[in-house]
Amino acid sequence: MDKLVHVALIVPLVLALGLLLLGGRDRARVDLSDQLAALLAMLVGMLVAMLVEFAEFVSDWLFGTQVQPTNTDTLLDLLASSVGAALGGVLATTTYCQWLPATQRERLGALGVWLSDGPSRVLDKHGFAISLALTGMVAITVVALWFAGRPVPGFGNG
Amino acid sequence: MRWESWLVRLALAGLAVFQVLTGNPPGALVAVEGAVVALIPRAIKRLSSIEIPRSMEALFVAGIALQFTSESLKLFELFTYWDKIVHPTLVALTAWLSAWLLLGYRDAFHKRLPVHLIATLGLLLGIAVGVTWEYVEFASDWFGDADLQKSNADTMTDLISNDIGAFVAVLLSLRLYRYLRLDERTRAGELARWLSQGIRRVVDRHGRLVGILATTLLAVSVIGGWAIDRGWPPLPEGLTHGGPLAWRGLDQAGAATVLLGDWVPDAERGTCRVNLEKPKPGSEKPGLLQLAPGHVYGLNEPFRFEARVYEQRPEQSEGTQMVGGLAFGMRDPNDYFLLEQSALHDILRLDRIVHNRRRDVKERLVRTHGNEWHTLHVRVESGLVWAGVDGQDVFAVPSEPDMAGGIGLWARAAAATCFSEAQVTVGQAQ
Repeated sequence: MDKLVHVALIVPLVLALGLLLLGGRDRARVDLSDQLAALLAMLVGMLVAMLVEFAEFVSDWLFGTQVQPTNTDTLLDLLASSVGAALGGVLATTTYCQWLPATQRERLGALGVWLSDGPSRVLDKHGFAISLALTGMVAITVVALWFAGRPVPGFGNG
Repeated sequence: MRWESWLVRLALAGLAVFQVLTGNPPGALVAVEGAVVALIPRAIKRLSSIEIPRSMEALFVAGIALQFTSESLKLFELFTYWDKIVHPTLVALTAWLSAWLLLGYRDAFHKRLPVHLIATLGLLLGIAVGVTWEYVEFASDWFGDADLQKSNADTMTDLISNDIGAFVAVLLSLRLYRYLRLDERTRAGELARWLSQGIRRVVDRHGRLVGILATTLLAVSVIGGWAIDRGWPPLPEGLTHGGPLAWRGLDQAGAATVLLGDWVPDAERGTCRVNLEKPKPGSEKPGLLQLAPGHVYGLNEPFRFEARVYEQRPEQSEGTQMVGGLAFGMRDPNDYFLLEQSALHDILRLDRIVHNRRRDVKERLVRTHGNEWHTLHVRVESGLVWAGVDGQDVFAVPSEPDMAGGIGLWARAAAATCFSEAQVTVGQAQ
């Protein structure tokens, strides 16, 4: 049952993302094919699912929660989310290319460009700082995972 | 002449010869496969008439050589974290080459493609390859008992290291793209177009059919995965209710039966699962020693089963396996429940072994080391199965009628896993 929830959560996310991406592409005249846009939206959906699994794993190891019981559960969650992402991607392309009228596409495009504008500007101005911050965060997480259940030098048992 | 790529291919061929001469045909076959796969850039050039940029070919060949050399020499089994180096490297190369192909495509055909979008696509393609790899390993384990995914933590740390590799590679590829010559960029772009044309044509013409085939494949896999687990064996006839047990070794007449593997008495460590046939690292088979043969535990009465276990740390050349466990609910040598503790992967896990294939029920992080004594226990009472180490319960899961059956000691070891004593108490815990 929880696998269906995974599918159901990812489909609308990827659908929304795909619509915004396709709209933004047309608005900004980016040379991104329909197929590549659908693929990009699907991959983002898979990434989100994986980040959720990462969060569960880190929570289990560092904070003693029990949200990720087994490897099978993790892989099936990811698989269910990937299926949801594929469905969402196909649905987004079909909706945008076949069902939506031009006015709604334009509105989606304006929203897509507006939403991506801010992050693009931040990345342009502070790309290096963001990379450093991300690297630091990942490094801290990896070190924390390494010491989970192990003695931490100077602090006793981790 | 691209001497660096040919040198690596030659090294793979040399490795194949070495493996044949040292009596390792499977290792030789893997090296030959690597040499053939490393020729793909040459095949692409022949088919497309596009000369792949030298640096891209070198990166591809180096990645392939790393993977196949590691497989051929069993480096994954000899060095504990080798997979955390090799897999991220391959994922990184995927992300790197994807980014360069897209950048080349943008430049060669004057496309409007923001660099952020290219970086995102490169990163996500690398990550997707890493995830797909895990799916393939999972399917190999589920259908073929390949034992590729050692634990949930193993899978998650694989994914984390893959993603780190992809992230670093994308940053580097964007940075180093400027050093590609103009003609190399153009050729990368033409290659990107050639590679995507076929896929695009198939999706355009037969998109619906591709979707139906993919859905059918997924459905068949899911149904097949469920179907192969059917037929949990019934309890063998003629068993009697098991009573309290204090087992100390193989010299107790009639108290134990070897079902799988080699078990030998050891003066200092009790009874040890060893590999008399000396398998290659990574090919160690499980050993199963049934205790109290002819008796069933857990049918109506609660019971507690515990044993002291010692997982010997193997020599570097022997491999890395260090696992010991308690089997219960045994119906036959291929169908039972298993509480296993791994000093290598730092886990305590409850499995259901169905037709000799592992299905994990619950897993928790428990840090232990090789060459240490620990006491494993499993307690079936009040509708729950409690599992723990050294007197501490670690987790509990609901029990089920299938958990009634025989009991035994289980081990998979590169050197030896030993049990000094085992005890069973029957009835409600005080």
